Amino acid sequence: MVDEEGWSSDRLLELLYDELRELAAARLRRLPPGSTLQPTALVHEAYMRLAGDDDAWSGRAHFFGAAARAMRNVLIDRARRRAAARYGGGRNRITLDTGMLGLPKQAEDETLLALDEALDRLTALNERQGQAVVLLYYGGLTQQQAAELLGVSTRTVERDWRFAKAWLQRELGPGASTGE
Amino acid sequence: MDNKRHQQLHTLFEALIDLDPAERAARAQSLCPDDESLRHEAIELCRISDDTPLPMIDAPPPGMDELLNAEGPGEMIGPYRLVRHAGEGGFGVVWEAEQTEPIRRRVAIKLIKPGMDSRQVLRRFDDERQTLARLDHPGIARVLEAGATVRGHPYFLMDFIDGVPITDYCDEHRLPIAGRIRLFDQVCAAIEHAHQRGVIHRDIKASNVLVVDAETGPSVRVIDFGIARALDEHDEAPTRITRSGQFVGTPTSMSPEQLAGGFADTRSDVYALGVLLYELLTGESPFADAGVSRENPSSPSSRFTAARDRTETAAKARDCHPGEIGRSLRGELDWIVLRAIQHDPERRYPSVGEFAADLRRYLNNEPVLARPPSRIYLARKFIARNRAFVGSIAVSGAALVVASVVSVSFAISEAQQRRVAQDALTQADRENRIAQVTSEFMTEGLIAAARPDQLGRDVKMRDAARFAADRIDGYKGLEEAPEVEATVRLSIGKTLGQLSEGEAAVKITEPAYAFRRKTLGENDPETLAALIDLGASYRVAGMRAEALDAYQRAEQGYEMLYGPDDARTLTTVRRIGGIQMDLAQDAMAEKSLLRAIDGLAKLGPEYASDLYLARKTLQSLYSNMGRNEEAETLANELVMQAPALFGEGSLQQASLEGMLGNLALTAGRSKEAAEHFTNAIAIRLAKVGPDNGGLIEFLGNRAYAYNSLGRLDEAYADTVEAVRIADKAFGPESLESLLGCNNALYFGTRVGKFEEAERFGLRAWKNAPGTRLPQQQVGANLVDLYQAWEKADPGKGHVEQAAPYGGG
Repeated sequence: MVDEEGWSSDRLLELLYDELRELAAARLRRLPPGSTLQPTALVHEAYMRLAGDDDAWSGRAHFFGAAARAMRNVLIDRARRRAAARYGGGRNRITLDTGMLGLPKQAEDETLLALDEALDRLTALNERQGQAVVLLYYGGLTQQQAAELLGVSTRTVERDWRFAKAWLQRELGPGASTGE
Repeated sequence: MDNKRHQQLHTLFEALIDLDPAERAARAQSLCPDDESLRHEAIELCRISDDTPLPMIDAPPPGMDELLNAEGPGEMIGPYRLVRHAGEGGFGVVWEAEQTEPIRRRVAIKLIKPGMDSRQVLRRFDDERQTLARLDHPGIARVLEAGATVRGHPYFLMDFIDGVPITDYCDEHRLPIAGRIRLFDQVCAAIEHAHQRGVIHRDIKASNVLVVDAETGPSVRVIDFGIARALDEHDEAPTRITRSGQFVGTPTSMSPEQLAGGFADTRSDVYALGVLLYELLTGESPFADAGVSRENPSSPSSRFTAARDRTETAAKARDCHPGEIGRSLRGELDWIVLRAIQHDPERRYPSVGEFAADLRRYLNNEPVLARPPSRIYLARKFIARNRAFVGSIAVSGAALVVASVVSVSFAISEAQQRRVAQDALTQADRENRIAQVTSEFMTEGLIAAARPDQLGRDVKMRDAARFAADRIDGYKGLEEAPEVEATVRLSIGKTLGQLSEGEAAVKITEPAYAFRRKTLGENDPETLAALIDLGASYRVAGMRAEALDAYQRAEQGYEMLYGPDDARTLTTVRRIGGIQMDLAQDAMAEKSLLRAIDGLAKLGPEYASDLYLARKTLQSLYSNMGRNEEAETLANELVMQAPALFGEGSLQQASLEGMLGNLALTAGRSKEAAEHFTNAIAIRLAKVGPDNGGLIEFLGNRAYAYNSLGRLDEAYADTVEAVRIADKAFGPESLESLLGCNNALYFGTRVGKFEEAERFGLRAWKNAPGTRLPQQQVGANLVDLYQAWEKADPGKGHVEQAAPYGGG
């Protein structure tokens, strides 16, 4: 797609910023890539984290992996921050208005944090399965893209994904739901 | 080990997952005969996997939707480019943004999060746009415009304020209590400006009150004016919960009426300001701890003392020791804050201006208007309870007594309040009890006195006061609050004194003075005030030596406390002069009065009425001493001043007209004297009606003036009227009546109304013994009567009738 020789890291970010945004939105919206969406805070935050990373920019694959991990971190950080505010850690802080956090968020955040812990356990048992979940679930990649990225066959990603989902769902218990 | 087992589990899962669920158990048994738990686990995972989509993992990560829908840096909102995330609140996110066209400037954009109907929000904002445009105050950051993003979310554009929330500012700069109050005063000024233009903020809280460091020092900016209302979906609807299940506004600082879905008004902002001040003073919201009753928050000082673990830090942030903070909060500052956060809007400060004014009074060490809430509450309750009844009392004087007693007992003097403030916490209980007992005493002691079933319908103020005086000794409950009992006693004593009930006044006042002297010391200002009251009672009771002694001791006390030239010292000197005049110590009286007049004249116009009274006493003294010219000069000056000081047609003016009449009469200018008396009578009639005892002296004196002018019929008419009034005001056997009867006898004889004159004369004769009216003088008049009668109607034996009275 893009000539590797012409990439500077800034140019890479610029290109991937838009692409990642579209992929993420598509993942969410079940829309085909290419639909017109605004830049997102999610992608922006991931972008900022990556921009501060000293890791070498070896290519798209690396970036997608890093972006997916960043997205996971963004979501988890938010949930943790809200939970802390809820349990009194946010006294007298104003950037997060404790009085205003709606209760419905609480169940979501708890599920998200539980899932994160389960994902850590899964990664410890089988790193590749854990990585697949990060790319597919948080990164919004297709199974084919994930296979490329992980250097395995699409069939392997399919099998890992199907098994990991069942395993994680069992860890969370039958009632766990995001409500969406 | 686990990893290996996990791998085995995955392998077995893959072997089973595509099978019909009924066949899995048998296949698992054949593939893995030795590990029953692995077989069960694999079958369980297959069963979970069959249920697609999986509730958790097949859905997008929670929170992602919100993130993907949020705006990011660089994005344009109208002509504004988002630069930096500047804060997050319940409604949404605040961005620092910049405008490049047509001018370059920094603004703040508040993006409202999804879930609000932007058309409604904008419509409500539009409703207020005109009003908001009128806001122009350095302490107010304006909301410049409102609009909707391309995704349809409402946003508000505001002045960008590079400041920090007021609470953080105060802590970071370690502002002491007074500094915090002064900064808070700026907030009040901004809110008051808005209130005067009809804008209520509705969401005042620390994060909406920013402080910037200006050249002139810290400067306050209140943000978000008009936004709370625009976001209130239920401004026109009955409930307050938005679709997303969140309150509009901030529950911890929101007034109870807003939380309950009622209408917000200026007093709702007073409430939120009170909560903010509470936080500034103590570091915590009054309702931060779960279970704190909104109706009964603890006072700032007790909160500060109770939160021991946090006290050190908070004190450090206020640049003083924890003990100092507790002390400076206790008392008046507690009351001010608690009054602002009263649950009932009616009991809060009626306006932000009054709230701020009370805080300034506190800073200037002036007495504040706020009182311990329990007392205000009970006083209001008491008056509300009795209003209908008080209004229906037959004699309005009784209501006056009630009102005066209530006001003294609830407005316990400043010095007492300082003592009260010394222990606000235990005091609150005590205040309660005192107020209760006082109100009970009022109800049972005083108001009952005015009840027709207790004393009859036509009850007089005199009877009501006496009734109360009789009850106060040993009134159950009052002994618990002796200082209140003393105050009530003094008030009733004063009333009795004004009613010329000298002995009763002395009786009720003496214990009050003794109590204050014992508890406060001889020279406490309140002891001295009681001593003055006691002196006045002695004087009315005719105990002149005691009165002089009381006044002289009071004068020494005041002189010691305030010096010889203080108004309190000088008015006491005036009183001394009055008593010395009564005691015929003329030279001493003159010296005292001249000193009082000289000193009071230097104190300025606010003491004009005290000065007036001193000069009037001097005028009487000169008159008594026969220094008539001086007396008359003084009286003429005073009569000119009276309207300005006491209003046109005051009783003071009447009294001076009477005085001038007397002087004219003495000087032989009878016509002029009659005119003065006529003036005096007219004023008094207009002021107090035809049955007032004060008219008798004027009528009697005018009769003498008429007599000198030969207008005998008019003289007789005046004396008859004087008797009528005396009968009514003091009773037919009173000295006033008897003197009047004697006069009527004299003039009746002169005008030939012999039968009437005889009736008056016989009444005077019969009742004269034991009074100051010499019976022999009446007798001489009676003899004159019968001789004149005999002369007018001879041979009817009238002359014989004179025999018992020395005639014949």
